[in-house]
Amino acid sequence: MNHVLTDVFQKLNLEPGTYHVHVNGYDVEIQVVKRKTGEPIVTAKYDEADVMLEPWVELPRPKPIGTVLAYPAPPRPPDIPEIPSEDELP
Amino acid sequence: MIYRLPPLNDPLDQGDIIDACPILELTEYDLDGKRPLASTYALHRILVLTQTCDLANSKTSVVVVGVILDAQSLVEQQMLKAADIRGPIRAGRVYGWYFLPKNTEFGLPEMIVDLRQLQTVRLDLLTALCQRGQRKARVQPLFREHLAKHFADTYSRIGLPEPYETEL
Repeated sequence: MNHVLTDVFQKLNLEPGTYHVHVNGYDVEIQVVKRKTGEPIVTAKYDEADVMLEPWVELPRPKPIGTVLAYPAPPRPPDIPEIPSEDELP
Repeated sequence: MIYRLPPLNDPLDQGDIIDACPILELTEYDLDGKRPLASTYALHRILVLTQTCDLANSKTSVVVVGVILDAQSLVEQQMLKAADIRGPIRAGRVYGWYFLPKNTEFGLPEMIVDLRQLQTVRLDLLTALCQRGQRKARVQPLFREHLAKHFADTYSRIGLPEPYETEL
């Protein structure tokens, strides 16, 4: 069918637009658009300046100025956050 | 304006740069706990990283700080190249390192906050240091939030063992 239509359409001087015809009880709509020319696919720009880096060296620690001795002690209690009561919950 | 110097009695805030903060490092330990631990300490310039909301609402008694290093000195020690500081580090493209520019008014050189050297310091100690005039400046909003985002990114990133394979 496509070959037949192609042959028929080639004989016509079609212009871009839409043609409506009635054939054998059917509504036929022919849409004519200009064929897109094949544009080459452009690759996304890869910019090195957008790439995050990992540190490549360990920066120096502060130079010690003294030594202290630490003795066992109980751990500091944690800072408990305010926990809303049930009736305050949304 | 990147920096501002708050009054002496201003409460501690995120972005505060404080000089000569004692930083401890454990050097000797006895796994059996029979001998006391030995720690060395250094006095160092630090930057407050704890969120403003936690400090403002007195929700914490300890503060997370990052050690600040002098950029020029790192170049002189040949740890970093000047071009790396000018380029990716200054642009915030290196996880864990945050560049802070020089300010002659407050006597601050070009600096790098090492977000990999984190310490927890008592709030009352830092407050006392501020009241003694050891707070050099405070990084101002926008810049401070930019720094906080970099801090968060450093610890929230997830690295894959290797990039995904592709046949393309």
